[in-house]
Amino acid sequence: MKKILFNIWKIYKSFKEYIEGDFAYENYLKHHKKNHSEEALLDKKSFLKDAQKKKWNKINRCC
Amino acid sequence: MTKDFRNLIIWALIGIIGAASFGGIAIIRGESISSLWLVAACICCQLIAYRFYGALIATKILLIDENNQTPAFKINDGKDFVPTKKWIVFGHHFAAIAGPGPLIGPTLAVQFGYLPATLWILIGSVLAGAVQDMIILFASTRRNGKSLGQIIKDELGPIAGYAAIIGTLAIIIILISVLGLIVVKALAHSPWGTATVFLTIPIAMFIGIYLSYLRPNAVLEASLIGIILFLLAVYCGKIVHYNPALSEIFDHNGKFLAISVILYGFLAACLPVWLLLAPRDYLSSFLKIGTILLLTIAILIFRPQIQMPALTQFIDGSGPIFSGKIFPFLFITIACGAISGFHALVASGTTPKIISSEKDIPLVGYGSMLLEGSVAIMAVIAACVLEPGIYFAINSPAASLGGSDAQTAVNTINSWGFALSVETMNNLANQMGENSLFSRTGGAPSLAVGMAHIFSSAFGNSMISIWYHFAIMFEAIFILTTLDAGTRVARFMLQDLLGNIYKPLGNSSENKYSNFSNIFSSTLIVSAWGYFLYMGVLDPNGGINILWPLFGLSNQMLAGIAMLLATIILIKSKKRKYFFITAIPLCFLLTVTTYGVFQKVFSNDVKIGFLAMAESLQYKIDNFIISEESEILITKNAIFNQKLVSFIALGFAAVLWIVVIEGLRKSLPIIFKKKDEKNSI
Repeated sequence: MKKILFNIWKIYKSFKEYIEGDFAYENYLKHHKKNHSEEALLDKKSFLKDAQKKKWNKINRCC
Repeated sequence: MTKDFRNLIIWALIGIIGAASFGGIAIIRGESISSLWLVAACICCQLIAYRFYGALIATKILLIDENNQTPAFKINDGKDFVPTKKWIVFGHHFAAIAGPGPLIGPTLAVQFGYLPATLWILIGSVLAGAVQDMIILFASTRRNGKSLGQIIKDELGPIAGYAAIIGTLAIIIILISVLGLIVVKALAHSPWGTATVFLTIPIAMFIGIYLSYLRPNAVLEASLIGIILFLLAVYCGKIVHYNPALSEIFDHNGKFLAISVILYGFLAACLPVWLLLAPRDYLSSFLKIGTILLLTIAILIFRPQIQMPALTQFIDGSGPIFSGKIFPFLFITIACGAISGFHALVASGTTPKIISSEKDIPLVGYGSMLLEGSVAIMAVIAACVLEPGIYFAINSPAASLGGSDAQTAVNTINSWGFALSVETMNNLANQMGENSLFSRTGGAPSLAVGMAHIFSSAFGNSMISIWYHFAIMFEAIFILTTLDAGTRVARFMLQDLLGNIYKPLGNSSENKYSNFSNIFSSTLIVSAWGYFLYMGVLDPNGGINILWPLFGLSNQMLAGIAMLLATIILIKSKKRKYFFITAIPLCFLLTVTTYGVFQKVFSNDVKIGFLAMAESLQYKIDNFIISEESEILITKNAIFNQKLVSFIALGFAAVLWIVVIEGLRKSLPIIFKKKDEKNSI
């Protein structure tokens, strides 16, 4: 039972991380540090705003 | 060994329950059956399909290999390509493919009875829809997340590529117009519904502001607040309905609502996404998942009886809701839920860029389509728990019921052999908080009555009108989200195409005229779908009979293109001998689409054929059956529209066959010369 609850909590955490953008931003930070550390770093707000704008310029909702 | 044995027992049990349910559906005749039979048949059939057919295709034919790096790892650019957990990708993909389509199509198709719709959804999703989604997702994953258009260009050449892009643009425009029409039909002369849906717009904007300024990115918390506010909006609608002064403000006819939807579409396309589109999308996705879960639970608790016969007399083509025989019209009416070409665009969009292992492809590609199929089955059940008389009274346009007079309509429905009285309909309308429920075409009101019936039977009868308007709001939010998102995407695609011809009309970041270009393209797109929407509202037969088949045809055309691509990819692979798994659905889609276009354009029956309708209208003008000048003008317009939609339908067939011919040109040499292009899956 404890294990199941713990798993549900884990799923909730990762869902929350994904939907609130922490997951994408952390991934971006890692990537930036590794590959473009000389370039300017976007802060979380402008990164997510950018991503959101791009998301809706392509087909991501269906009939 | 023991684990294997346990698995064997479990799958054997699922098989037996599934077979028994199908047997039950097949044997029980003449009396109403419980909807549990349908649910059980659906779940068992899909589980077995997923475990065996889906797994077979993935492991033996596509040869998925978890050691292959997916583009998410290979490219990982920190933006588009991000390795993501399996269930999150599944949720993302399902939210993307599941829109209002699988709820509306089955509701309309139930006019043939519950059996044809159920069988087509189950067989179509298992053998065609899910196979298409999975193979396209797989192909795109192996090609670094390229889009369907790009893959077609690479595999079939530029002519096929451009044909596919123009076809896609056309689908989006037809889709938006028909969805707009459904909202207009659901809200016409319904003050409660109109007020509720109107209120959801400022609520969504408030959530947008909340998420951007008050509590940045607190999506879960904001969504919860938004959903509570949406429920309050449903309640406010009730106050409007029972207040004569307010009720008058929100009581509008179709024309007014159509113009409002068009204006809304234009304004929404110009607003930034964070303000309206993105927050409402969160809300509508959560609402959809929540409502479907609730509906499933309610069906399991209440176990409603199916009132609709297995087959109705309308399989002969004389259906009041849409005309045409079961073949090909069932397969056009239910596109989403069984096989939908649009999914191929989603499966080659964001999903292949975030999937972190090829092992996840069966779940994400095959599994989420099956889930959409079960959503469609829920819609079938919601339509079938209504008494057939009520179902036909709500969904048939006034012209099919012999006029807008209630007694005439009831007489017509009685003459079809379905019991109904004017009193029943009046009581029902009263119960639901509507002025009238006769001829509320488009599928949304009937689905809402069905859902309200199921919910109130399971959770208590006192709130039936609230449930009804909750269902209407739920559908409307979905549709408005698709309308916004579709307009934006179509604008982007148009800018891409126009940018090739004349730079300032494109959408490149260096374009100085980008504001002008945005407004210009938005205007073109909104006018295009607005035109069809308005045409549908003016149509005396309710418009759905023109626009929904056109949408179905366009969607099946795109599915045909995607299936062809899948077939060619299989032919080029090591597993060439299995190409029939996509070739058979492909042949079926080609037949359905081509025959469907042929029927819709050239049929001599005025109810089916666009040209026959145009001719009959012309006859009325020529023989002075219509003489008033204003009426002649309207009729001339209608003739033009019938010719226009014929032209568009023929265009769909042309696009499909151009791609097929290009495909054959590319693949025949490989088949016959055994030219070795293996491994290029």
